[in-house]
Amino acid sequence: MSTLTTTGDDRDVQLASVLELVRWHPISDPVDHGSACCTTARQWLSALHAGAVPTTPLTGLGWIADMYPWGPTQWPISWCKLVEQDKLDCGAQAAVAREVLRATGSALLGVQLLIRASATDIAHWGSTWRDGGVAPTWLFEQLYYHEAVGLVDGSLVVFDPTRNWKVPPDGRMEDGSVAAIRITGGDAATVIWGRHELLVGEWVLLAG
Amino acid sequence: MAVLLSGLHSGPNPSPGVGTARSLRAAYPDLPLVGVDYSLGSSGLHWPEFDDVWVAPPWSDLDLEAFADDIAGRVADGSVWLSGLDLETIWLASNGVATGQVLIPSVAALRSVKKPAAAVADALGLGAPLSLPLSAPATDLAAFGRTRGWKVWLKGPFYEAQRVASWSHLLIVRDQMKAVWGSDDLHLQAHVAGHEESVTFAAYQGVLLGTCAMTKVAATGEGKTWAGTASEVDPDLLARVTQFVADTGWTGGAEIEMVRDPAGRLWLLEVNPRFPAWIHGATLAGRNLPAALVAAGLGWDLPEQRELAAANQFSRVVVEVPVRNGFRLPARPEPSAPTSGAGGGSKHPSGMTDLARLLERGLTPSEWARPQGTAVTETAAATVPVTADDHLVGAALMSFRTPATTETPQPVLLEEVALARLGRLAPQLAALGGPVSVRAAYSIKTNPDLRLLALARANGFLAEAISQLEAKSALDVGYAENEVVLNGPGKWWPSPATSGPVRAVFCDSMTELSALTKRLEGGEAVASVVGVRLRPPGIKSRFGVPVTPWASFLDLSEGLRQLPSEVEVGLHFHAAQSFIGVDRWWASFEAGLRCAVALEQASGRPIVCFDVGGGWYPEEWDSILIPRLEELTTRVAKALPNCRELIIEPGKALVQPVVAVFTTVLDVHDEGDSVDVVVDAAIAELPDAGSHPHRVFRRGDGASGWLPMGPGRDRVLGRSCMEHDVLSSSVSLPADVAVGEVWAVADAGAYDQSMAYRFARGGS
Ligand SMILES: Cc1ncc(COP(=O)(O)O)c(C=O)c1O
Ligand SMILES: [Zn+2]
Repeated sequence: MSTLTTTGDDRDVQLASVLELVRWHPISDPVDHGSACCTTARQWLSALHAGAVPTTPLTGLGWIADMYPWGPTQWPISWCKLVEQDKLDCGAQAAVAREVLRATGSALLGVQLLIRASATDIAHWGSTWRDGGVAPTWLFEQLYYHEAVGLVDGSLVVFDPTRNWKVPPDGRMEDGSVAAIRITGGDAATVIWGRHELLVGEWVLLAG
Repeated sequence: MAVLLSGLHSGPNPSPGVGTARSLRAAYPDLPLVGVDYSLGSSGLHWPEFDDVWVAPPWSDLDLEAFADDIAGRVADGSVWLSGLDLETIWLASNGVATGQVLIPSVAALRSVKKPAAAVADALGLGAPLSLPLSAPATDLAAFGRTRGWKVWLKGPFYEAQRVASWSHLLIVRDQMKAVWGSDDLHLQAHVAGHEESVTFAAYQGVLLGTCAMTKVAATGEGKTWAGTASEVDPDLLARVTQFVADTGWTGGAEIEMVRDPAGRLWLLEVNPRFPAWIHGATLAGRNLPAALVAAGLGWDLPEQRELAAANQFSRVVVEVPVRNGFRLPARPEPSAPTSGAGGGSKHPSGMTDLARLLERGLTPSEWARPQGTAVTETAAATVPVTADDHLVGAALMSFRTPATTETPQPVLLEEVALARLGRLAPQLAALGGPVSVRAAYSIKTNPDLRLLALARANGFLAEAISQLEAKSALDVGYAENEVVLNGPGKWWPSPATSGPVRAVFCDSMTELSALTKRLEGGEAVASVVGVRLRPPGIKSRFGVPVTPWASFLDLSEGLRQLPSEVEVGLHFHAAQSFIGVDRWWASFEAGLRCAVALEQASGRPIVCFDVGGGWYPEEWDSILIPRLEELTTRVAKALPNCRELIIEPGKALVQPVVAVFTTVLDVHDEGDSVDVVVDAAIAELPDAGSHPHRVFRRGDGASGWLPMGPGRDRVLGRSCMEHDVLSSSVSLPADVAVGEVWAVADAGAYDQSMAYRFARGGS
């Protein structure tokens, strides 16, 4: 990771403007054609997951990024097209995770994140996306938008299928730190994540 | 006055001496530090922060009494000794060397942490992975590994842990560990998947001085810490550690090594009676435990403990240091010299393998007996499936006239055992009921003996054939064509044996499926049910049709869709439970079944038959699969509403125990601590001898009949001239064993029979 150069004040202004942009952005959700093509694709994904011997609901998801490494996805996408891809973006990977875990009856939540990253990393990802023919609308100046899945097991566990790891509640990741998080879905009005109480459906800023 | 620190090696498997010295130096810039080790191969001797070093002779050369006096002399001026070597700690404690000046736990405290340390796990509120002592019967050891898909470790009481991957690998690692450490006191331990964590602490006379928790972030190939995150110890665990320290009156450093499973539960791997090699990582995070220990030992005020620093992560780096003034690196042994033991480039530069042997000889077993371990051991034994029909085999052998020497080696079919094992299945299957009928298909390849094939037929089995020759055998004993299931990549070889349709054909490739489709389109009535063997996701196999990536899945679904409408569609998978373990088998079954669901949907063809293959081991078949058959059937019925028939294809599950090979003792050699017996059977008659334990039965006196020999380290060797012709290396031979006796090697009814070959018998 390269060094961040922005000062604290700049960062706050920038985060506020990005939050305006992502406010209306729902979690990524593939289209289902309502016919055999998509039903089969979803059944097939659940077969792949069954072979992975999960020991708890959130383990055994490593196969998603193994089979579909992280890369550009052209949205909107249907389930029957999604399974054909060589690569999937984080939203599609998270959608697959939610899909294969749905059957286990666990209450799965959508997780949206804004993560601070260096300008060099962001420039690099932007060109990868453009080379793949997809506009990098998830990239901002020193921030990027990311999706994961949430499982409430007492408190919230945020699992990132792209990297096959749990996002720690202090928001400190290898390549950046979580600036803001929004949880969607479920019945509860709030969820506890580490020492944060998150209002479901609202972007919550994390300090640091 | 000085602090003496032993265990200085700083390599891929480091000792804590250097880290301990760095921590002490950080707290006490002027404290004299003396490094101690037992060979010039210990790299930490050259660490510049040691004011002096003491290189004692290798353990094998040491006069231990004189050495104890030396140590006493060195610490007589008020110096203290911190041991960084587990075995040195044990030696010091059990010989009462310089008690008081040597900051180590008591013998009783050390005994409590001997592995497997089940009582300690309990006291600390940690899970204890199941373990089984290597003195258990071979059949139990094999079952312990097999049921877990060989995700198991072989461990010594104080040192070393190695993953073992199969029964034959277990025997190899057992012998290697015995050769290196000189001990038989080993145990198998179940692997716990998860992230490794540790707690290190320092204590003085039962008072806890400080603690630090650490999560491993990066590790070496051997699993040793390379980078980690330090943190406070969880309050509940801290309370228990405090109690443990008080109960054992602990003095010295220690490390509690644990693994956190994905559900968050902590399991104890081991407790080491010394600081860990990463101890300076704790100091960097504000927890200087060596300083606290030395202060307590010297009666100084405790150095001030900082709260955990914000930068609580540490990493190792590789650093070159100059060789200490006046020292030279050890001479290199000649290339042919063994690399274990003390010496240059050695894996054990502190001579721990030598010390292990000395301790092995010097300490009576009772002194280090493991009273705490028994509870766990019993639980582990209870989880091992029972050996199939032990008593039946012994009784069945009674019905044979013991053959004369000239008639051995001679395989015999134990009919009572065969009747019992095949006969009990039909009522079990019939009792299941439900919309899906369950049929067993006898795996002919496993043992093509026509008597068994006929018995299978008489007991309602179908027949599973992988060649036309096998199909012909089935027809020869009276099977109808529609009772034959064809599987495998060479099922049409060598030339057609059937004319009417067989019950089911499962193609092994897309090419075979298209060829068969053409034959069916041409009007050939090949089979009533046609499908493929699936290669379920998560299983590596040369067989079957892959279902990933998606394009392959679509090809397969299209292939099934194009099958003529006169045939019905079935699907099959086979994954050997005896190889992948129980949980993985169940996962593969579920994955295969879900593929079938998706294929039914995609191809529009109802799946009327689902075949789950064979590959179960007799013990697990009896104790796990049969009791769960109903669950299996219910699951199939629910997932595949069009399915009428569930086929299982047991081979060795049923017939492995039904043949014994009579064999005559040709020679007996005393090998010192074990006995080798050469018999006239060989790998030619028992080609599967290496893959699973074979019970060896001997005729007892009077009414006692044939009894299996107990566990031990004696060997039964085959008559041939091959080094690997070892029929068993884990039995205890009777003291009165004599040339000319006839024994029976059991569990030879599966591939031992079908794969037996002509070897060492001269021209035919
Ligand atoms: C398709 C199939 N069915 C059944 C078997 C029988 O196996 P076992 O004798 O291990 O039960 C095998 C063995 O390889 C097989 O491949
Ligand atoms: Zn579709």
